[in-house]
Amino acid sequence: MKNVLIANRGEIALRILRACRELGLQTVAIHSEADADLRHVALADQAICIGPAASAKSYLNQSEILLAARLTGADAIHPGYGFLSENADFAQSVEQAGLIFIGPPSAAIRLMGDKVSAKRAMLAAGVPCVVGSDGILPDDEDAVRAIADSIGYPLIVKAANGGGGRGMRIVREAGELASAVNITRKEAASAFGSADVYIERFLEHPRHVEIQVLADSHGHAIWLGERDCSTQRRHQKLIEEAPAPGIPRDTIAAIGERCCEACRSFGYTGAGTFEFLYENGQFYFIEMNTRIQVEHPVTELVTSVDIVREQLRIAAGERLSLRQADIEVRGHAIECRINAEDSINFSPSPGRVEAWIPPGGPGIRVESHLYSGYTVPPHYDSLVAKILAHGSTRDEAIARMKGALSETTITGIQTTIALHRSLMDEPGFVAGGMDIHHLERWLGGGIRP
Amino acid sequence: MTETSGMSYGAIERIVRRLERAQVATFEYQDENVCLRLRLGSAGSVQASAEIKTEKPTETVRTSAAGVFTSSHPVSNEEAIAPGASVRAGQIVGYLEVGPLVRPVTASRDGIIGRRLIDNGTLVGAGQPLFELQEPKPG
Repeated sequence: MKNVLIANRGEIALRILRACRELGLQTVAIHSEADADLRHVALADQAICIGPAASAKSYLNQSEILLAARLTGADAIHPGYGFLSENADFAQSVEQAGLIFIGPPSAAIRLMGDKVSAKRAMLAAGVPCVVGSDGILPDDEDAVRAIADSIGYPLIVKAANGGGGRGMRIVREAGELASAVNITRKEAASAFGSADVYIERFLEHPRHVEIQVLADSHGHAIWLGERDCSTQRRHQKLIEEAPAPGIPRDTIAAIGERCCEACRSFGYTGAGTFEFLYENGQFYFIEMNTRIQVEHPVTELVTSVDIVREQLRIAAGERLSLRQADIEVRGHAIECRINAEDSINFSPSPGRVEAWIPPGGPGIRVESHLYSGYTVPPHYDSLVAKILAHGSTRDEAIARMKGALSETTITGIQTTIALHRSLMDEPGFVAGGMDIHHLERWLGGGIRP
Repeated sequence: MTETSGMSYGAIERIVRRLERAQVATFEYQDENVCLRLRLGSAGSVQASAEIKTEKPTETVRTSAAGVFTSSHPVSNEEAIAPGASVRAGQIVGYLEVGPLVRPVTASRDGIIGRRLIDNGTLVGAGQPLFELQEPKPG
C-alpha cells in the first residue's frame, strides 16, 4: 500500500491525509466541483475533480471513484465516514478491482448492515442485545401478538434495513401492536426497499455508550475503552466524552472483551464501533459502525492511540502493534461538534467564513478544515469543526472546553458554539450520566443559548 | 443595487418573502445577466447584493468526468474537432481515456469551437474547460 485515495471531504479527509503523511503514504484527494478549495485538496499529492456538487454525482459515485483510483495510481481507498463508508457493494467493488478497501471485508459490512443478521451474530458471540423477536416478524397477526406478549411492553417496531432513527415505532400496549406493525412495514417497504420488520423491548431512559475496537487480519482484536454519546438531538450526536461517567470499569471491560470476541468470530478487521444502549447497569447492543467515527479523537486523547494510523497499518496487512494490556484510559476527554447551523433553530448556515481563529492551550485539540476566506458549501453535512478538551479529570476537561469555546472565533456563518457554551454550564451535563433524551428535554423546556 | 430588466426589486422582495416563510438563511442565484446573493439575518433583516455582468465570460466546452484527454479516438488518428469548426449540442469534441475505457466529451450547445485549452495526454478532472466555444454565426 503506497498511494491512498481519500473518498471523502471536510475535516475527516484532512485527518486521513495527515495520518497517511505520517506513515509516508502518498495521497489522492477526489472532490466535487464545489469542493476545489478544500484544505486537503490543496495538501494532497494529487487531486482530481470527479463530478458536480451533488453527492450522488461525486462522493457517492462509485464508478467515478474507482476510475479516479485507476487514473491516479491509487492502490487503496479510505472511505472516511458517511458517504460510501458502510456500503458493502462499494467495498466489494474495491476488492474486486484489486484495490485495498481501508475498512473491514465487504462481507463483514454486509453482515452488520442488516440489523437482524447483526443481532444474531452478536448473540452468538455473547454480546448482550435487547430482548426481542428472533429475526423478522411473521405475517400472522396472532403469532406477532404472542411474540410481543413474551417480550413485554413497551416495545419498538423497527425496519430490518432501517437506520438513522427512521423506520421505528413505539408500542405501549397490545391494542396498538397490529396497526404499528402494519404502518412500519409499509414505511419500511417504501423507504428501505424491504417490508421486513422486527420488535424489541423499548428502553425508556437509556444512555448511548459505545465501544471502540481495532482488529487486524491476523486474528487479534483489542478494545480502546468507551465513549458516552448521550447528548443527541434528533439521533445526531452533539457531544461525546470518554470515559462514560459513573459506569463501573469492570462492567465496561466485560463488554469490551465480548466485542473483541465478536470481531474475531466474523472476521472483522480495521477500526469499528459497537453501539450500545445502557440502562439500569445493563448494556444492550444497537448496531455496529464498520468505519472510523466522527468522535474517534475522544478515544485517541484518553488512550494515546492514533486510530486512523492503526486503521491504515491494519489495511496494509500489518499486525496490531498494541496488546490489550497496553491500553490504559488516562484522564477525561470531551468533544463538541461545531456545526454551521443556527444555535437556536438549527437551520443550516453555509457561506463564506470571514475569520476563523481556532482555540489552543493545554489539552485542546481541534479537527477542522476551516480557514479564513473558505466558503462552506450548502450541499453537504454541516460539521465544520470538532473541538476537543482533555484533562486529568472531567471537571478539568469541562473547564478547558469552556475556555476553548469562549476563545474560538468563527465569523461570517452561524455555528452551534453558543449552544455548546450553554451546555457546558447546564446542571444535567455538568453532573454527567444523562440519558439520550436529556438535550431535547432541555431544548424543549425553552432554555436557549 | 440597480433595477434591471433581469430582476426587479419586486421580484427580489417576493423571493425574500418566500425564503422567510421557508426559514431559509441564505440564497444564491446566478444566470447570464444577474447574480443575486441573499442572507437573511435572525431578526429578519436582509442583506442583498446584485450585480449586472457587463461582459459575458468566454464560454467553454467542459468535461463531465475525469480522464486523460485525447483529441482523437485511440483507433483513429482523426481529430474529433478542429478550431473554427461549427458544433451542434451533443457532438463529440474529444475523448477521455481511463485505462481501456474511452469516454466522449460532447458540446453542451451549438457554437463554433475556439482555442483548445488542454494538451493531449493531460489528466483532467470533471468540469475542466477543454475548448473555447463561441456563439454560432447568425443565419
